[in-house]
Amino acid sequence: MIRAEHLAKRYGDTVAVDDLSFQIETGKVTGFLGPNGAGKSTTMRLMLGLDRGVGATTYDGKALRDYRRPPQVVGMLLEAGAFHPTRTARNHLRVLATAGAIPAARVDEALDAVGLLHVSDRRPGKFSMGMSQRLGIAAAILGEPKYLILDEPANGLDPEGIFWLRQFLKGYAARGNAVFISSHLLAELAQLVDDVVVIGRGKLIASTSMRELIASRSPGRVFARTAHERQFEDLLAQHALVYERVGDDGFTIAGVTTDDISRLAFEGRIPLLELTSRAGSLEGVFLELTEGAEEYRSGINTKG
Amino acid sequence: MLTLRAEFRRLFTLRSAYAIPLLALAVTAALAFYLAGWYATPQDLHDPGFLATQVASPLGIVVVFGALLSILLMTHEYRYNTIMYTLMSANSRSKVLLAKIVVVTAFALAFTVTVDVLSLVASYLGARIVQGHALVPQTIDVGDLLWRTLVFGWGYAIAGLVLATLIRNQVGTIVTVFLLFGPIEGILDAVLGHNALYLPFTALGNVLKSKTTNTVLLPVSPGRAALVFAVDIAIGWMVAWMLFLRRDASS
Repeated sequence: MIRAEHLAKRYGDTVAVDDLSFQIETGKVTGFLGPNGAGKSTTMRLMLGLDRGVGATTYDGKALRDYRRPPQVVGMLLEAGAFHPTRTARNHLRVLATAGAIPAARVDEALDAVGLLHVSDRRPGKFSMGMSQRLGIAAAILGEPKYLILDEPANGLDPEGIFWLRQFLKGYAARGNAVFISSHLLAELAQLVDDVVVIGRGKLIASTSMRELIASRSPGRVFARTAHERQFEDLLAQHALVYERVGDDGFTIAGVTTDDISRLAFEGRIPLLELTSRAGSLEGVFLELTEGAEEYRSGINTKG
Repeated sequence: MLTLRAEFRRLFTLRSAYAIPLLALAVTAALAFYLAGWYATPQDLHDPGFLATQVASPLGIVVVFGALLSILLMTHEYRYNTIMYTLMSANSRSKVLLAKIVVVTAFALAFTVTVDVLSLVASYLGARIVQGHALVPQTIDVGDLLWRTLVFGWGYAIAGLVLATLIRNQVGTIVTVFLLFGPIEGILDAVLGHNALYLPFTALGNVLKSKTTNTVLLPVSPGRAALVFAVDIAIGWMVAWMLFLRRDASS
């Protein structure tokens, strides 16, 4: 488990991170959300000891400096393009492998995993954004660390790359590791993360499971379709359920789950043609949570 | 040890680690050959200390290449943000800095010895081929020559590394080294008078000068000048080390 406690960082008069505490559990992917300028990158740098600030971060109860070989404990991607442009991709990883006491064979394995093995002897100065990002991911996973801290890893990746990244990170966490990932691609993150940490203006807004976050902020809604609209409407009225008619045969029912409606329809002997959950989106919840905590705000109303 | 090995690998996987020394050696050979072949007078060639004198001349110029490489070793880290990986790879920032000092020292010593040897050979060939006659038997105090040139070569490289650690910006550091080396210490020399011998680059210059290379009476012996430089650089390192430990890992 990663435990971040009372992290704080100031730049002059500006508070970048303000008494931030949360924890990241193994076996899960934890999303790190916040508007631009919320302090996500600074928090990650504080967690890794790259920036000097207040507070402490422990990995399985120990500070990173207490591990003999930190690259085998935590892998990170904080910035795509963090490599020397004329040092080949393979040599870049070889340097990291040497420093972290990581077997040399892992270099080609990591490059293969991110699909860069065929360009491993090329200088990365001319890599595309996506290729640079893949090289950064290769560097992060090089030591097969228990913890991955990734800042916007999907930036610049093509759809295949994003799909690969999602599968890879899910699999990585499922093997008992922990992945802490920040991204502005909320739809993508919604498919990936188990837990979320939301911050705004450097302060913690929420730290909970994804399911609980969405459930707490947007009461469940269910869409049902039936050819027996009249009986179904009566049934909903009998149970004092709030609903809306959608089209000729559709209903959107508030405050219930698909299980509830399925049971009711069965008891009322009303066959359903369709029954789906209309839970709130991560995007909607995020916008609601971070309203007023944005550093930069467009003139467009995002409340929808 | 791993940090040190990684630091050597970091250096030797850089193109500039080969290009800069090669350029420096080409300049050394050309300069030594020219100085002995065309610039030296017949009286010079009859001086038994001629070759020893010749070693210092090219080194005084190409030493900036050694300083440049040590600057790049540090400032590339900040320019390309690889410092994140470097600091993350070790559990102590001091280990990282120590590894860089060892690598720069090893490089500077090897580089200086190579320049010394090449200067001697090129000077000898210059005298033989261009001037057309052999030098009189030469007297070279190898020990004296070696320690003074090694301190001089290492001094520039390590001073470059100190400034790079302090400034972190590549262009800023290079400009600062050249300004300190040239105009700034030049002006301070004029202002401080005799006390200018305590300035780091002036001290290094005094290490290289000796009775065989400079007939002007020196304000300090090479040994004392080396001591002055050691104190200067130790003060510089105390500040640089503290900042390296305490600053954020970004430029």
